[in-house]
This record gives sequence, structure tokens and C-alpha cells, in this order.
Amino acid sequence: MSGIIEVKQLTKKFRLKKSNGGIKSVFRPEYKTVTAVDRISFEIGRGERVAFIGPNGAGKSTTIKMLSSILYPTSGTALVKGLVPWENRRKVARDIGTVFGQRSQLWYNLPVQDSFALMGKIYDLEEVAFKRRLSRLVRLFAIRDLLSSPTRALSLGQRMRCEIVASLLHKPQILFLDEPTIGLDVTAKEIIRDLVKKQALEEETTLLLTSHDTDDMEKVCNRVIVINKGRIIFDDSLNRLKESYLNKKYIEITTDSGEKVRQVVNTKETPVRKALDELVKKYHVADLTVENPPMEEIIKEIYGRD
Amino acid sequence: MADKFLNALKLFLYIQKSNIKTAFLSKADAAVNVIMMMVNNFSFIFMWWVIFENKGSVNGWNFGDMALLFGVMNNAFATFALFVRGVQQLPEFIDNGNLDNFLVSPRNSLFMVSVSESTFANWGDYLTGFLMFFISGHVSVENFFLFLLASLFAFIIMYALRVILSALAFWAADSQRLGDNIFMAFLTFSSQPASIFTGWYKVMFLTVIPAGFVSLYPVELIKEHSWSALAAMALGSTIFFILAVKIYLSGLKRYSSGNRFGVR
Amino acid sequence: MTKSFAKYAMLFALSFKQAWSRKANLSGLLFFLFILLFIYNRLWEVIGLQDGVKGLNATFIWYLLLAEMIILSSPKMERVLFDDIRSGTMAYYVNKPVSFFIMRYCEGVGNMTVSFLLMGFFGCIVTFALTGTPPFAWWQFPLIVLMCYISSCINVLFYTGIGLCALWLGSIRTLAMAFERLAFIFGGAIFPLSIYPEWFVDIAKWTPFYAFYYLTIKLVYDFSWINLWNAVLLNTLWIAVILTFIGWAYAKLNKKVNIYGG
Repeated sequence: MSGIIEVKQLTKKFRLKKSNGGIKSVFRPEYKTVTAVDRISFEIGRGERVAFIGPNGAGKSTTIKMLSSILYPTSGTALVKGLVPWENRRKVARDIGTVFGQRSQLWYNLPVQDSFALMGKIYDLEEVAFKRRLSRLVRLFAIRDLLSSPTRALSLGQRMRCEIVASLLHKPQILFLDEPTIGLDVTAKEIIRDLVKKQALEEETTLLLTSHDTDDMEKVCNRVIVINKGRIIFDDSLNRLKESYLNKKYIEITTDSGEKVRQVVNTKETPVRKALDELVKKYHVADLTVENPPMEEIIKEIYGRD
Repeated sequence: MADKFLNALKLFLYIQKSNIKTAFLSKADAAVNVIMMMVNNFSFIFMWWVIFENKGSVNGWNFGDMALLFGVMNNAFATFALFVRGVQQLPEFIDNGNLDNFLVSPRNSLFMVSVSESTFANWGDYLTGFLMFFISGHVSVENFFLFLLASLFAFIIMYALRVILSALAFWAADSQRLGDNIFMAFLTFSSQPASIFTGWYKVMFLTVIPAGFVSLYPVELIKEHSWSALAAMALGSTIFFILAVKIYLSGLKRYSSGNRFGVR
Repeated sequence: MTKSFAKYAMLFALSFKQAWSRKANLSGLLFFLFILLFIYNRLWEVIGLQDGVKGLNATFIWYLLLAEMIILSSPKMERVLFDDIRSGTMAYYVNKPVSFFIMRYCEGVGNMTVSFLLMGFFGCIVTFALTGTPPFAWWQFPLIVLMCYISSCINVLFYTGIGLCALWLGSIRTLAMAFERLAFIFGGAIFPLSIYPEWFVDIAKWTPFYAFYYLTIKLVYDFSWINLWNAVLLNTLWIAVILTFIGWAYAKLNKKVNIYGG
């Protein structure tokens, strides 16, 4: 299988100026090189939904930005639909859609539909085809009521739905999502995840999603690449990851007296139900949460097994 | 090729329509802004009128020449501010990573950045610009066309210089204000009677800060129909424009998409 | 009283420090100042030669230097205030034991002071090199600079006040620009008012800019105790007027914030 995205030995280094505030630093600045992405290779097939996860500063965004032609790499190659993205920026742009959680592509003061219309012009979409496409996406993402409000009036979750629609208007085969759920509350996160997955399944869009929230990958993706300090430390199906590493749950309870008790359960050995039963018997439970292990734990564990 | 150009033009017109729509969200605001801009221009012109009233002429330039100069400058700046002002934001986009949005678009990113901002008030500059031409005492059909041509070249040089200054931010993170100030110096330089710059001053006037191209040559072209002035403007604007695009493109390779966190 | 003074002095000091650390910013400002001095020096040199008047440029360039020290040193306070009001940032300060307006003003003055001092230091060197003998006696100079510094403080107040107009206007850029231009000509910021026609000066006299800029800056080539006294008197009068406006607008603003809760 030849992949829709192929990456070989991709590396990106940033040169940072060390500033110590002194007058000397103005004339003879010292530099420090940071390797953000370190010789990574992988291949993604059409229709795959890949989660790119890792802690902050791991190199996730940098990789996605090289693949979406924003950054030039220091060395190595990448092909997106057979083209080197940073050399064929405008061609590649028509096949990819990008959503950056912390950036907006919508006009701040204008109604959302105006931004969509502009997108249509930018991508040279036929008027009729554009209208059809838009109405389909509007239905899918349930944003009919938002169309005439200016972007500034939207909540973050509403805005994110519109951002995703904006990046799907030209029907890209590949969608890059960089931290799409950042800053959202739990409900809004759920909605975004459902919609993204639904869209990808319906149109066979290839997804590449970065996040530092493990839930994002569990709900949306079928393949996981874990990256840390610029290196890939895990690349396999979501099921494999779940079997090997996501078999722990963190249970935290608060008792009537306000005391907090924390327990780690290995779901392979003990079902969560059983663990809960025991806890309820033992304590007067006032409140409880069950969580996946945080990213850092998983990475530590992956390292431990290597 | 022609198709591509037509598409770009369509997009450009659509964006201008949106800009005007945005400005008209508050009509009173739009009108006040245009009027304020003209007040602004005329107070500056008045200041120079006073000088010429007092002194008659300065090294051979009279107020009519100054009016031509202001006409060209106002037109050039109006074109800049109405259609490509976004390039002034480039340093900010580079710094906070918002350039990403422009880079993933299937259009030329410099074009997209440039058209991303427009200030409606600068329509007042066009009004001022043409008015200046008509009071300059050099009115004829032929001169009117030369005036338009000169305004176009002046605009290109202005834009090219601004691209270069903005692109500095690819190399130096905090160059925004420096670029702004150099651009302001350029505008100030070009709003003086060009006749005061002689000898070494003139060399500097045409090279380091290419102000001569937007002040000296346009006036020479319209007043004396000097074809060498026209050639100099055409050549100068082409060279500056190519240089600007080259610098922008080589800057892009250094773009770090807001990942430039400082090490302290 | 002393406590709140310390609070605002601290704000002043912090923004002074911050402005001082922005080297590229400051060098850009100095670059622009040098260009201005250089261009206008050339202009007056040429005019001086033409009219056969010696030392014309010295008078006008020292005047220009002080004028620019006042005008260019002012940070874009109107934009800061505008953003604060429009984005609702201001609402966060309503319940803090600090006056929002005075806070921003002190920051503005701190910022301005850095530019003012730097432009003063380097500007004097350049101007001296360009024009030779200055048109004032040395002992007068500190007094003149002090007066200009006060004018500069008023200038910051002006623009902070313009920011309050965000209450009524959707955009503040052109208003601030037109205001700046009016200040330029009625205050005689590039050319002293003495070269303007009389009818014009008569109009200018009724604007605050006449006192803040022209009367103050003119001391550099036309120093006398009576001129100084005039400048002080008129400035005080106008400050009272402006503060009244700001107090009124600020009270309105606070009410609005309270109603909408930001």
C-alpha cells in the first residue's frame, strides 16, 4: 500500500537566541539549537484516522505544520499525495484542510457565512457546488443558526465547529487538526469529536489529529502515533495501545468527611465495576471520578517497556 | 495564466466588497473617518502652503510642484492602505504564528496577507490626491495620465519597501516597530520638496531610502515630461518589487510558526 | 494617600523598565527622529542660504527637536484604552482597589519617559552637531526641558482621554490621527506658529495645542520669564478643562460597565 502521506527521516531544528538582557547580547547573540522533530518516519494510508499524541513541546504541531506546508524541514522528506508539501504549497493546499485550535481563519467582525463565501472564492469553487457542499456541512455540523452571527459572537465550541466546516468546504482528502479541542469544556469536546469522526467516516477523509488529551484519540482515531522529544515512541493501532497501556483507570473518591482517596485499577485484572463495589463498601462515597491515565504516565510506561 | 489572473482578480474584488461591507456596518463611522482623513491631509498641505507663501520657492520648487507631489503620494498611499495594508501586519503574523492560515491557502501567501486588511478612511486620500492634481497648475489630459502612471509606480515602490521591512521579522523577532519607523521615515522623506536634496543627499535619497522614486521623479515626469524619469520609475519599481518578493520567499524558509519560544 | 501614590509609582517604574527593555523599538524611534532632524535641517539650511539668513536652522531645529520629544514620545494610549474598553478588560478592574484610568495613565507616562529621555539625550547631540550654537543660554535649558516634560505628560493624558471615546466610536484610529494633525499645525509642531499668517495664529490661540506645544516649546529660542509664566498659566487652565471632560466621560464609562457587568 502506498500511503497518502509518506514521511522519511523528517527533522526540524529551531535556532533560538539566548537572551540574557545584557547589552552584549544585542551585538553577539548566543544561539542554542533545539531539535523539535528528530528523524521521524511513518506512512499513512487513505482513510486512516491517526492521532498524533504526546506532551507539550513533543513535536506534534511541528510535524503537522511541515506536512501542511507551513514549515520547511531542516532535513528529510515528506510526500503528501505524492508531492513535497513545502515545494508545492498551492497544489497541496487544495487537497488538505487545516484546523488550528488556537488560530482562526474566520473574519472576526463578519457573519460566519461571509467567511465561508470567501473560502469558496479562495478555493475557486463553483457557485452551485459550493452551495450544495455548504448546506451538507451545515446540516452535518448543525450550525444553521450560527451562519448569520459574526465570529466574535460565537462561543469557543461553536467557533470550532465553524472552523472545521470552513476547512472542509473544498472537500479535502486529508484533514489536519492541531489541538482541535483545546480550551473547550467537556460537552463541547464530545460534540467536536463525534462530528469529526462522523464526517471522516462518511467521506473517507484521512485524519491527522494532534492532541495532548488521550480522550481525543480514543473517541476519534483508529491509529496512534505517540511522539516524545521529537521521536516516535509508539506507532500502532488504537486497540494495541489500549491493550498494552490504557488498561489502567484512576479512580478518585471524596468521602462524606471530605477525605480524598485515590486508587489505580488495572482493568485487565479487576473490572472497574468490582473496584467500585469495593470502594463503596469501604467508604461513605460523596463524589467520584474515573479517569484515563494522563499522557505522561502512558509515555513513562512505553519507555519502561522498550 | 490568464485564467489564474482572472481568478485572483475575482477574489480581490470579492475581498474589497467585504471590506466595504464591513466599513458600512456603521455608516456614520465610515463618513467621519473619511472626513477626518481629509482634515488630516489638508492640515499637512496647509503647513507647506504657508512655507511657500513665505518663501516663494525652495530651490526652484514652488507650491504647484508640491501639490503634484502630494497628489502622487496621496494616491499611492490610498492604494496601499485600501488594498494591501495587511502587509503591515506581517511581523505580527510571523510572531504569533497566524501566518499559518495564509500558508495553507491555495493562493499566493503574500497576496493573501496583503489583502487581509484595509482602512476605509483612506478613500479620503484619493479625494485629496486628485484635488491636489487639479490645483497644481499642471492640468491637461496628457498630464492626467502621467499623473496616474506616476501614482501607480509610486505605489509599487511603497509596497515593495513595506514588504521588505515587514519581512525583516522573519530574521529579527522584535523588528515590528523598527520597520514601522523606517516606513514612516520613508514617507516623511518623500513629502519634502525634492529639490532640497542635492549631492550626497540625493544619492541617499534614491538608494538607501528610495524616497526619490515617489517624489522627485513623478514631479519631473509630469512637469517636464522627462522620459528618463519615467524609465527610472519603471526600472526602480520593478527592481524593488522583485527584491521584495525574493526577500519574502527566503524569509519564509526561516518561518517558525509561533514556535519561537525564547530561552532565557 | 501615600499608599496609593506608591501603587501608581510602582506602575510607572514597571512600565519604564519594560519600555527600556524594548531595544528594537527604541532604536526605531531614534532612527525616525534623526531622519526628521536631518531632513528639516536640510530644508532650513537651503531656505537660510536662499534668504541669506544665518543660523536659521539652529532656531528651527532645536524647536523641532523639543516638539518631537513631546509628540513622538507618547505611546499609543488611545489604542490601549480602546482595546481595554471594547474587549471588556476594563471590567476586571472595577472591583480592584486601583483606578483603571490612573493606572493606564501612569503606565503611559512611564513608557513616555523612557522615549523622552533617550530622544532628549541623543537628539541634543545630533542637533548640536548639525546646527552649532544653540539659540538659548545654558542655564535656561533644564527649565525648558522640564516644561516640555510636563507638556509631554499632558500629551499622554490627551491620548488616554481619546481612548475613552471608544464609548461612542467604533474605531479610534482616524480620530486620534486627525487630533494629532491638528496638534501638529495648531501647536506648530513642525514649523513654529510664528511663520503662519496672523489670522491662523488667532484661531490657534483658542485651541489647547497652542499652550501645550507652541508656547512651551517656543521657550527654546524665545526665553523670558514672562513667556514662561504665560505658558504655565495657560497650560494650567487647559489641564483643568481636560480633566473635567475626562472625569465626566470616565463616570459615564463606569456606569456603563456596571450596567452590563462588563
